[in-house]
Amino acid sequence: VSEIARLSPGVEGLDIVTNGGLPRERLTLVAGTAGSGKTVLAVQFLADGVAKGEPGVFVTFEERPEAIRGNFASFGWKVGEWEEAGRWAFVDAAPRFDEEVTVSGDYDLTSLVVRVRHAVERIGAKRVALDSTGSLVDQFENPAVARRALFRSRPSCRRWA
Amino acid sequence: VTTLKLYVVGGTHATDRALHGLEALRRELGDDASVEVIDLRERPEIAERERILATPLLVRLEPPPVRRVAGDLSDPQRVAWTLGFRRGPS
Repeated sequence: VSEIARLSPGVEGLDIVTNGGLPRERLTLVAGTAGSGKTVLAVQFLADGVAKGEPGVFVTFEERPEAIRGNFASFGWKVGEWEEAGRWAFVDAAPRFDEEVTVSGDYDLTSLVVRVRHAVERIGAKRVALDSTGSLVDQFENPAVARRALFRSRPSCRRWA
Repeated sequence: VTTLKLYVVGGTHATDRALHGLEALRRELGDDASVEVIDLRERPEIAERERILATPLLVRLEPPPVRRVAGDLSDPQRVAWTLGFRRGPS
């Protein structure tokens, strides 16, 4: 049995329980209750990439980019500076409650795939974090549309990697 | 003057239906309407700048306030109401 190449995001305990880190060039789904640290892990994963010369794209469906820039300053993570240096890019898909959208008929979220790809190509990203898939699904009346978009972006991520 | 922008991603069936619905709106509005169709595959930077998730997306920019309708516009009455062009019995 060939070993899957691992990538340590720099969390010692996680390396132990995952047998060396996250599978490299694969998708990893992080499940956890509110407050369990999913966002911290996602930011850590990209911050680790920045330190190793691998730019990252952070797709946020929940917190605004400005909140993430501010909240993680105390970790010593200078997200704003990384953005200016082209080592970090946000895809801002956080809901805006002042921007009401009426729905009439079928729609899809291919635009999200277009945006992620554009960000990946713009900075030559090697890592992508989506935070969180649950928040994306919650944004739409029909959760199947969101699930389909996530499922469809999977092969795209592979290709871009 | 009414300014409308329709954002689409490629030529899907939903895109075709939305273009059809947009054409009907344009006929209704006559010369008062300025209409633009933008394919986000060709202009991905606009998708990011406008933070567009769901397409087709019709946006009424003028007159204010900005109004947005996502979908293939298959419910003309709902579209007309949202965009402020009341139709039918008034």
